[in-house]
Amino acid sequence: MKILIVDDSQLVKKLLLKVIKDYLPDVLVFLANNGEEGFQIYQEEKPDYVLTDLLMPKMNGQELLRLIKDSEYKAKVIVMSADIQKSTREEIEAMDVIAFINKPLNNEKAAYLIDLLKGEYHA
Amino acid sequence: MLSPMQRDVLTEMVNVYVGQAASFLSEMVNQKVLLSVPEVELINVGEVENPEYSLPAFPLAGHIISSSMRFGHDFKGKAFLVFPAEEAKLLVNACTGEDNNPEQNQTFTDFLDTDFDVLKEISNVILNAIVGEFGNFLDTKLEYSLPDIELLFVSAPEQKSILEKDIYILLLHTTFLLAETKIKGVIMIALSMNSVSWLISKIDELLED
Repeated sequence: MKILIVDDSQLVKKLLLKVIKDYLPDVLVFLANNGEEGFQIYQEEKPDYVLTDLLMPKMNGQELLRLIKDSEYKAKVIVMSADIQKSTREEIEAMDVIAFINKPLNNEKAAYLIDLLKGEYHA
Repeated sequence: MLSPMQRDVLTEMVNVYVGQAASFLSEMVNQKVLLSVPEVELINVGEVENPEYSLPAFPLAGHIISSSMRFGHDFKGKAFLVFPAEEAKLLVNACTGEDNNPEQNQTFTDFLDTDFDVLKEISNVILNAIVGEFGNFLDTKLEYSLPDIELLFVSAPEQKSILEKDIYILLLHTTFLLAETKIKGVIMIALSMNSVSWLISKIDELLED
């Protein structure tokens, strides 16, 4: 399985990588710092899942999500953002993501994320 | 500027929002975090410039780490999270799980890009938790700029000069208390005049109900 993580924070990428490697050691993980890099890697690698932040330089998560969904409407995208606005959640959920998880990542959210990646939840 | 009832409502709202921010911070540092009940003040920059007005005691002088995010469109302003530089370093270490080794004799000059990255993410989470709830309260969509983080030296007489004209400052004085160390931080939200009026009128609507 291939997973693409798109986030401008090194801390978040490191945490997500550790969680994924701890529970899904055979997964191939790709890292990107913004939507632009993320979309390039998405096109090259066609990952099974994309985990993306929203607020990022160069290209934000909303734009990345639109590009990915235009390219493959069944793409499995999980959004992780500190944005707690209801309007943002509604906007993102309307774009058919698997889940919208609010940062920060805690044990409960990490367990939920791993279950999602194992395909044990279906939105 | 604020009637006692308006101040009461605003304080209660901010109390809830800051409580949520504290909960998020606690998850990031994996320690219990206590935030003091915020003191809320809405001040006009003109008042700040009055020689008789003294800014409340918060760590805005000396070496500070200031992290800020702009937000807009209809509800417009800029939110700041400010820490004394040395305490910001302790916060980074708490977040990354590193020991605060006094033998290393680290100072504020030892900030690395990775430290700023961690502080940016902390401020992203904390400021979103507070400012985003104002957006929810006003039922409006806020868009954010990327967090901007700076290490500054601000002498006491210069404190006023960082404030721009024609804005109001919502001052939230908050002390972060981590289980192992005391970290002082201040949250400031600068609002445009229109945004202040909108917030106050919405609070008035609540009071009329």
